[in-house]
Amino acid sequence: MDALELCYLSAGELSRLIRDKEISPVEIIDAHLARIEATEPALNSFITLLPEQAREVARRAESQIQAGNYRGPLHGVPVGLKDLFNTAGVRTTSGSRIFDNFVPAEDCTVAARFQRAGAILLGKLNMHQFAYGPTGENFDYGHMHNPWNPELVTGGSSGGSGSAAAAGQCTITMGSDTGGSVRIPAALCGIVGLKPTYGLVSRAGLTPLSWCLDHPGPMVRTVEDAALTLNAIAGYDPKDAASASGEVPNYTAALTGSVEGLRIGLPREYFEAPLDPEGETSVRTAVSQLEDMGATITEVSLPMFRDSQAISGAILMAEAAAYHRELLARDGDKLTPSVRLRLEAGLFVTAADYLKAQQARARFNREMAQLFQEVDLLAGPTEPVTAPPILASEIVIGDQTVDATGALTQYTRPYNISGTPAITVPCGFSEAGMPFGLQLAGKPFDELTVLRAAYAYEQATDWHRRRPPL
Amino acid sequence: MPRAPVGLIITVRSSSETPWECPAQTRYMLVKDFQSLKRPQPRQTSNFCREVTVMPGENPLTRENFDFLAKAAGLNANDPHMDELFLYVVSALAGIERLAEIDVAGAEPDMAFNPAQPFQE
Repeated sequence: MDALELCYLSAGELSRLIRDKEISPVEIIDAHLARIEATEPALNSFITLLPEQAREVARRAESQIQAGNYRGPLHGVPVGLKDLFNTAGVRTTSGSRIFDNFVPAEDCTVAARFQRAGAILLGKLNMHQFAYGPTGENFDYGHMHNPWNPELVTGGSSGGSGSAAAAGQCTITMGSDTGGSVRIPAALCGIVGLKPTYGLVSRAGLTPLSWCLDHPGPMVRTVEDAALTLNAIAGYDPKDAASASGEVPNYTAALTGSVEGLRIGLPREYFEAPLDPEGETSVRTAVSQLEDMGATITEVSLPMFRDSQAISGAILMAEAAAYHRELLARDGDKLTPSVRLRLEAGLFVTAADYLKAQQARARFNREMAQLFQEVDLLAGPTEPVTAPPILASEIVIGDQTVDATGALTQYTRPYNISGTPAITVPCGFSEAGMPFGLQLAGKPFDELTVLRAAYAYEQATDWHRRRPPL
Repeated sequence: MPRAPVGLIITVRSSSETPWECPAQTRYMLVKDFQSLKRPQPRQTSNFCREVTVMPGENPLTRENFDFLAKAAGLNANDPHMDELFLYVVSALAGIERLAEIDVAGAEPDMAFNPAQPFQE
């Protein structure tokens, strides 16, 4: 098979070929390393690339599979981790030169679970410094570039994860999502991004941004790959104080292709916020398709959507400042200026404001829970616009000029507040050829329904088959 | 309720019998050092505390208050980027002002603490 085609096979497709010994993990890794070599100058997805280590692990995987020790669907599949996932023996920078030489002694739980599943780590992916920004700009390791147009941002903070998956550099990537950092780059790069329920995937061994808002999640090219990844990494972890102890289902069982009988709510407030007309058309068309496929669509109201920026902003600022306070005192002048400003601003949030935000969060979650008595899923845009230019601090949406950070997180933050699962799937392209995402969110720990609807939509469309012009 | 002029720890005192000798008015008192709060010295002098009177409806974050709070937070008040930080903080705090309008009566802070949760370092 052509090496480029190999790089665009999904984990599900690759796994069937690997299991049947039609292809070797060594071939797969070599193809991906060649793809990275060809595209990395334009994208800058990686902070650390591990070609020798990856080839060595691939050779071992090949031997194991040949000997009949096939471990399952991720065995021999290339993965990349955002560079805040600790990896034993491999530096983990969190996107800052301050940690250029930080080499963790232990794997984070997610990395350990990938390893147990037989996945092969290709490298550590570029990110917005300390995950504190939604654009994917990094002054220490270079900005990330959108594979659909390298003059535009990937979105952040998991920007390298977005570009690497979209450009066929990795089959599976992982990001972390505090205000949208999985879903934003996934939507802007035209791939699938899943923020699981808070507590379903362990945060142990990840550099925190906000303890109570951080969610690790997969960024992949197909919904099936999101399900396969979740099968490998979800589940209780005693190292994570917030880890949930419930039983983990088989997420691929949800991929039936049917949305018959599903009740989907469309919050009217989402369409009152600044929203690009092309994006609105894409999302409304996608929702109509889901209706044609058998789902019931209802307009619903989520009044506290308007409060979500204030609630998550106060919590995020306070927690990020608390976590990075010593670093600010010691190395503040070595931080990217915009990240330093954000972190230092958190020192000015009062304890009373923080607790008021947590009280408001309880109200927000009650409102969300009431909505989920009426519907099974909430649908809406993932982003109000396609990817803006690199270093744009303001963006134009329709006839409004708005702050880029606020706009890029306006639809994603609500589900960090509620901790409920949310996925983005490609649902169209702008006239300029940039992708839009449809966001589907479900009840706590109901990833099965989220994946079911996303998969059915994906299978009924071909947006996910498009490739960036690289 | 006026918005507190921000700081590490802000308490409201209504009595002069506080360990810090704040006057008998409701006002915001800023504690200079969190460690000091843990080990309060009896009858600290005004070097320890500083009062900031806040009028309802006013933006309380004057540059003077900001400089004091920045110092209290361990930031270098002479750092050249403080002008930029001041503007950023004013803007960032404006972004969360909406919190004041949210009715949270009866709602407990949604904090994750479960004493029964097993945990391993």
